[in-house]
Amino acid sequence: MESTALFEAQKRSGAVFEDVAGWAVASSFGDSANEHKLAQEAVCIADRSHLGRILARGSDTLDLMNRLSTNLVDPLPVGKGETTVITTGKGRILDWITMLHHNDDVLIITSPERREAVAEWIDMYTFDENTTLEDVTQSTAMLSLLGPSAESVLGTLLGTSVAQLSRLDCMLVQWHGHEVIVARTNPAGQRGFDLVFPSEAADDLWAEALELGASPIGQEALEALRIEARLPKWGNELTEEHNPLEAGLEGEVSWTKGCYTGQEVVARLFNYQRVQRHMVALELPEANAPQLGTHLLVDGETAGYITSVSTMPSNGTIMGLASLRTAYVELDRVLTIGDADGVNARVTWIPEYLNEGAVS
Amino acid sequence: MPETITPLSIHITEKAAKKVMQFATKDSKGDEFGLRVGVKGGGCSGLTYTLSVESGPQADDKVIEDQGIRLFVPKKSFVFLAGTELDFSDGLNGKGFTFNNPNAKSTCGCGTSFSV
Repeated sequence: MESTALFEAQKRSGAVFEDVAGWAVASSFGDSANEHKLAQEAVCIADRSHLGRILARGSDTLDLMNRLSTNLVDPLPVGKGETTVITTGKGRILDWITMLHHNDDVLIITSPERREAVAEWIDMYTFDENTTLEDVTQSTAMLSLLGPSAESVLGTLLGTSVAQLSRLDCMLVQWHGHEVIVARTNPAGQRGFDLVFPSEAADDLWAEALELGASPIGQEALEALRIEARLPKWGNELTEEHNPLEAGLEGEVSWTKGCYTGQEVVARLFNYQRVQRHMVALELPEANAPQLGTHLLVDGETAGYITSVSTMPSNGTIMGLASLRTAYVELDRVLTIGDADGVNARVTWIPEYLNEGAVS
Repeated sequence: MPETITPLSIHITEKAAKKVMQFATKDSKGDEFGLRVGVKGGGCSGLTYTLSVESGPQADDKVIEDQGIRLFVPKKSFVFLAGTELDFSDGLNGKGFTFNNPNAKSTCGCGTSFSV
């Protein structure tokens, strides 16, 4: 497994590690329930250096990315960011990325497993454009500060206010001679920020954030927050088998910007109400959490399968996300879990636009 | 005498060539002008065509002459365009310049984008 620049620092903070896409990532710091609570009530700090980071340079980057992904990312003024889905010609997901236009360059943040795929894809479609890519995953580190106190703690840490940043706004801050990209990305659905900076500054930034009261948080608690926020993740809800509409990412699609790779398929599925399945949230029985991929049945018919599961550290309930065939997408629908007779899951959330009658 | 077709080249029809000539004259592109034909990422299917009348080729361009018109084709684009015939369709329902590209496995509804 690869180690991030913060491996030793996290170890000293009591981290237990797990493998995420070949990286040793902190699973917890001993008390996931407390970490989960602090992220919602105070401020937590997470090492997310295992996410892919690609620096795109050149005057044609935004135009190129606008042609290769679903959201409107051109124009994207300096100081602004955007999330967007790179789709294949068939409208399938290559990755859900964040673009931060922090100076002349654009930082592209990818899912941990997808940095090579994203870089290769962009490179393949770069012809005459003035765009070059540099993978900076190894040379930089990435920290998230999340929770209601993240804004004030980060302001003190950096010595400058970050209150003026709206969602996905970004800026460059000099911190002890290091350039730090700060963006309000609301990690794991919590109010908060991502910081990207040279790896050599990682230990000092981590230590200072802890001194200012931030508590380390691991994947277990972050995963619970993600599922509660109904955010899809690569490998779970996001795969090359699904299109953005099936994965709860209809809000990431611009319907007016014109052509991008996959646009015709995505637009047709939406307009003709032909989306085959949707991401939904589930409440699961408080017994053993089912395995990912477990089928969900209605009258013995397969209606879908479970894509994410987490035990809520706060109260022990089990929540999940599932991919459900459109015909079965309905609030409060009861689904049988796999072969376990009489053990049911209940649909607790469906994508908002379905409530507006866009899909029958 | 039948025209010799080189499969791994790019061709332009007489009609398209005349149209290019009109544009070049109108834009005063000089004697060394040519039609730059390329592809770029995007369009619904993944790749879309680019066309521009230029006063000369760029350093890495492949230069092909057909119907009295010089075609400038960027190296990376040539792979996707080899064997293509460039035509022009006019009239009210005409599509303007059209590409008959044997490399295209699928095209989008409006025909301006393709995948290989």
